[in-house]
Amino acid sequence: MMVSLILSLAVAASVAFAALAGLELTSPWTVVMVVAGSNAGLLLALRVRAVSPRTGKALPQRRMVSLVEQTLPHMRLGLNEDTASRTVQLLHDVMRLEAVAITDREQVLAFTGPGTDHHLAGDEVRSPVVRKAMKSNQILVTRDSRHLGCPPDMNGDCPLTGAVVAPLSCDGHPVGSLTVYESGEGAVDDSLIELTKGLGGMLSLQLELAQAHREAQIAETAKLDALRAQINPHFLFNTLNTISMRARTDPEEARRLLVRLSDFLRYAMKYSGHAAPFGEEYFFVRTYLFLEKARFGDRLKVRYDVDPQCLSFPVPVLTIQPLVENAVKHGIAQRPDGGLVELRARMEPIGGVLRIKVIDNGIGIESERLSSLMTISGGEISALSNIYERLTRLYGGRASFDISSVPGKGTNVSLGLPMGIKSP
Amino acid sequence: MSRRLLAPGQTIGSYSLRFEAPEETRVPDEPVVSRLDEAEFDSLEEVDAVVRTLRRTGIQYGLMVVAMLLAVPVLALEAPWWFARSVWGGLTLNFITVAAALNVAFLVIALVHNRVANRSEDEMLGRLDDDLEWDDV
Amino acid sequence: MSDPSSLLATLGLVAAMLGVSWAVRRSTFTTLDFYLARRQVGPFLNACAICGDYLSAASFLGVAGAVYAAGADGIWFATGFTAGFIVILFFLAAPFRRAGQFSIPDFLATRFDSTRVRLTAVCIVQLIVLLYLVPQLAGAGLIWEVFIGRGLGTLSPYTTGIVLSTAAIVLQAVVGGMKGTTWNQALQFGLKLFTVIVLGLVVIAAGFSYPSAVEDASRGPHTISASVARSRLVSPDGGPTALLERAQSVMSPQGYDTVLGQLESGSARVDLLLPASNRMHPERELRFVEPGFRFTFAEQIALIITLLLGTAGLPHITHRYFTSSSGRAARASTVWVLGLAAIFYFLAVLLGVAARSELAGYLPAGLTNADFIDGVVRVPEKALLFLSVEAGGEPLLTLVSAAAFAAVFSTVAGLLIAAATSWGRDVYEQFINPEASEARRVRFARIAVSLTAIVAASLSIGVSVMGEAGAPGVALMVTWAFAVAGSSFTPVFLLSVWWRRTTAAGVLAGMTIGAVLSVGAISLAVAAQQFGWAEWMQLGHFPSLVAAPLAAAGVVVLSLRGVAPDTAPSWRLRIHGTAPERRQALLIRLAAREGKIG
Repeated sequence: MMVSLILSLAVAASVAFAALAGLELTSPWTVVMVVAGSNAGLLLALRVRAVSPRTGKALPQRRMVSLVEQTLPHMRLGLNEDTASRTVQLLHDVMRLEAVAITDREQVLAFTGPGTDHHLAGDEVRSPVVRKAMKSNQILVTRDSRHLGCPPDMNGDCPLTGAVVAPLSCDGHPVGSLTVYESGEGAVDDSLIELTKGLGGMLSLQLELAQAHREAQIAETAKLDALRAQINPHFLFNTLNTISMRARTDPEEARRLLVRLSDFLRYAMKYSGHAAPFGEEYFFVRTYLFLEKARFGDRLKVRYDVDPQCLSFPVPVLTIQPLVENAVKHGIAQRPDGGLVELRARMEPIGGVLRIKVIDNGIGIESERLSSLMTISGGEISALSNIYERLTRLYGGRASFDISSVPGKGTNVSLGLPMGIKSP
Repeated sequence: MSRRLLAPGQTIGSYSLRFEAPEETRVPDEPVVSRLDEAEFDSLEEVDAVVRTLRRTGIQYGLMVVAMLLAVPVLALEAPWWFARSVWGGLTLNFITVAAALNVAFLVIALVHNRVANRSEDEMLGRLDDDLEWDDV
Repeated sequence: MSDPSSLLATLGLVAAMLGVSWAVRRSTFTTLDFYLARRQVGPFLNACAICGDYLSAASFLGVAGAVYAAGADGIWFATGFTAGFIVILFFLAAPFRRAGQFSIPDFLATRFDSTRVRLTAVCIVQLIVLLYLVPQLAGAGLIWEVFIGRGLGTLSPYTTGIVLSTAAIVLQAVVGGMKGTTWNQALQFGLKLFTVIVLGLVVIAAGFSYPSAVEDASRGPHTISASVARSRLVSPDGGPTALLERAQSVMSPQGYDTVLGQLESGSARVDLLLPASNRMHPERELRFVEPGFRFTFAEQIALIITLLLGTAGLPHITHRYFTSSSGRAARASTVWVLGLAAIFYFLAVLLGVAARSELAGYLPAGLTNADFIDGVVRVPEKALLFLSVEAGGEPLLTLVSAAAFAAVFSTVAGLLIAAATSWGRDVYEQFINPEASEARRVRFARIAVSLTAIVAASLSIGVSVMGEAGAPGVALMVTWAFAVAGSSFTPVFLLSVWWRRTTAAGVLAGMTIGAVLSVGAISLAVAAQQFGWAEWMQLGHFPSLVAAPLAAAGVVVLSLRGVAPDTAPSWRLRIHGTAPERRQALLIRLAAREGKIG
């Protein structure tokens, strides 16, 4: 704002000067004068900007760049206590801020500066200003020490006197906040507000970049995973083996299997968008199970139970077949006398949610493995957790994913998919 | 590869485009070029799935129809405003319903069911309808 | 009404039918061709043919007559007849076509691999055909009575009508085979539809408005015609009894005068009109627009269920499904039928109402003669005919009579072909001479058809369908056929197609239970009417409500005790799978593409 003010003053001044000098407003000399004047004004404004009244020292651009470089590795991992505490430390050190805090939607993640004794990480967000800033996605300022989020029993013993709160947002939704405090005689002035705004913007941008990166990574992993699974050499090998054995005894059946195999591979390769109608995913599952049934024979029994309204409902691609494959590989294949795999699809009348269940009566999953299947450990992502991640990304948490299993009895995987996949 | 102009009935390779006359068989079905047998077929599980689906749908819609049909005499027994009050000239609601409205309702239900049944069969049986090349058959 | 021009018109119609049959006859004539019209029938055409089959004299004259006589109650026949197709659409249309058989007994016998099933089914088919034929031919007799009014030689007009109609029909069915009948039926349906539309337009042009017509008809109490013994009308002291006074309250002065005249001239029985009792709400006076003339609440429910289930079991209807070009086409046909039938019945009901409200206006006040009592038609089935002659003169009567004959011919033809197929395939080919050549089979079928027709004709001559109040009308007799079909075949069909564990033993039990119970109940009801037994026995006219579930139970219980046949899975694939249809479509697509390449 300062910049535009100074700039406009400079332009006005140069026009006035030209007029005084008797020049026509349209003459080239006026233009030259105005240009020169605005350049001067610009330089002046930038200089004013760079000289922060706060510290009295000029903040070299180098420092800003270094800040970005230093915070990115942390923010890239997402917003949690660990990353937040490192970031507030950096901000405090590099930008010479009195006190800094980062919160997520619910609680304070990190705080550094005077007042750390009662502004603790893990506290819930008490400050009404912070809450409002996150809710309305706006920068807010307070000079009232009562609104700083001190615990109620502090009674004004906090050294902090004011704060600027900038929301941190991702995809337009607030996910947290950055608060820069003032203490003692320091004033909450425009430069502090501008600084906080800039820092908030920077952190938000980094969070968004991190999210985009993660999503791309997930999608890539999904693709690779799917490709790996589908063109899984083992699967192909087994199926081709089955076909070649069948070719001797029942050539017609062998040819049919080949046709289905080609359907299967073609679908696996076809990647149009993120969602497909459930009918197509069902096609993929039944093609897959037809091939597996040829291999396992009577050991694998298959049952489908589909409501017709489900057929056009959009579901994320390649989410259902992996579940079925899991059921076959880990449930039924391990069982000598085989079992039944069932796919059920129903529309829930209230809420328009598609409920998909993959049920098998195989050997089941132990509970410890169950919980580990759902989390990401290190860099490895299992098929189930990949699906879970994708569902979270695509539905923003509105989808449900439940696994229940009784070792020895069977496993039951249930998906609840609502309408409206977020286009990522 | 040289291309020849094809005349109707001419064979290309091992395929014949001429329809063969049907024999007098127990199940008089249309003749089929044998390769199509492998391209389009049903598996028992898929068919059972469609049976399950259509049976359930038929029963749901059927119960709806029966309920509609039986509601009329029930109303005719219990509700004077249904069978004794004129709503249009001399016509009562009962009369209008039995003479016209029920048939219209049945037609609508029939159209909807027909669409659902066709849809279910199309999507739950057979292959995806991407443009199949001749070689794919 | 014995105008030579009308006679010529009728003869012209018959000649046209025969001509079309001849024209579409093929020189090489296999059984397949004969029975199934070479599967070249498209859905709409098939639907027209089904309607032609289905909209019999009962629909045409019977429904209008039922509405004329019974008011709101009579409409249920129309609605019920249509509703039955819903059952077919939902559960039977596509599976029947995909099964690929020729007839009901064939279907059941192949599904369950059992000759006993075949035999039982054949018997029931013939029974249904007879029950359905008799009212049709009776209808033909009635039309002849009104339209021509003269008999051949010593035969009454009624009998003459029956005999001549039967002869024409047999000739046509035998010469043309199924395909002739398909086209004929579609045309005849067109004629019927055209007729009701024309009649409707004439009536509307004469000032008919549906709401006000119903209002007019409902103004006074609804009447029923009766023939009452003198003793009940004249009290010992010579004065009128309460009954006579009630008659006076509903009859016109001129009509009542006629009654008095009859009493004075000493007749033992007098025809008069009485206020009808309200069987649904006894405390209310019955009006035309209100239900309760014919049916109590229980009877209404029973009637609805009987009609709903009956359509699916009628042999001449199911036969048409075997001719569709694919399962989907069969379903599409059924939807068309629902639409066409709805239009037709809407008009038929409208005409019944019109007859009630308008007809009296055309006649001299209080007309009482062989056909009328105080302006009310004695035989309700004739109401439509009288309306047409009064509203539109001889030409309209000719048209309507031609259409009515068309209704009879087409239905009878369909029935006879269904019967013939059964005789030829299920009896002759299976039991008498499996090695027989085509020609011999066809000849046997022709003979069988003729015999069936003659039996039906004799029965219909014997049955008195007209005149006295309480005699079964055409619509009711057709309902009997529906009852047997709906109780013995429909549950069995539904379970055979949709339940995998059905066995031959179960099906046998089901058919037998259904047939025995329904026939028994109907006989009970008829006897009860004749001998004046308890009122509730009238429910026996509509036995499906009880007989069908019991038949279904029979199927289930006996099937569970047995083992499902080995062929069950391959049957499921055949009946419910769409692979042949998809192959057909693929072939067409590829052939088209081939045509483009090169």
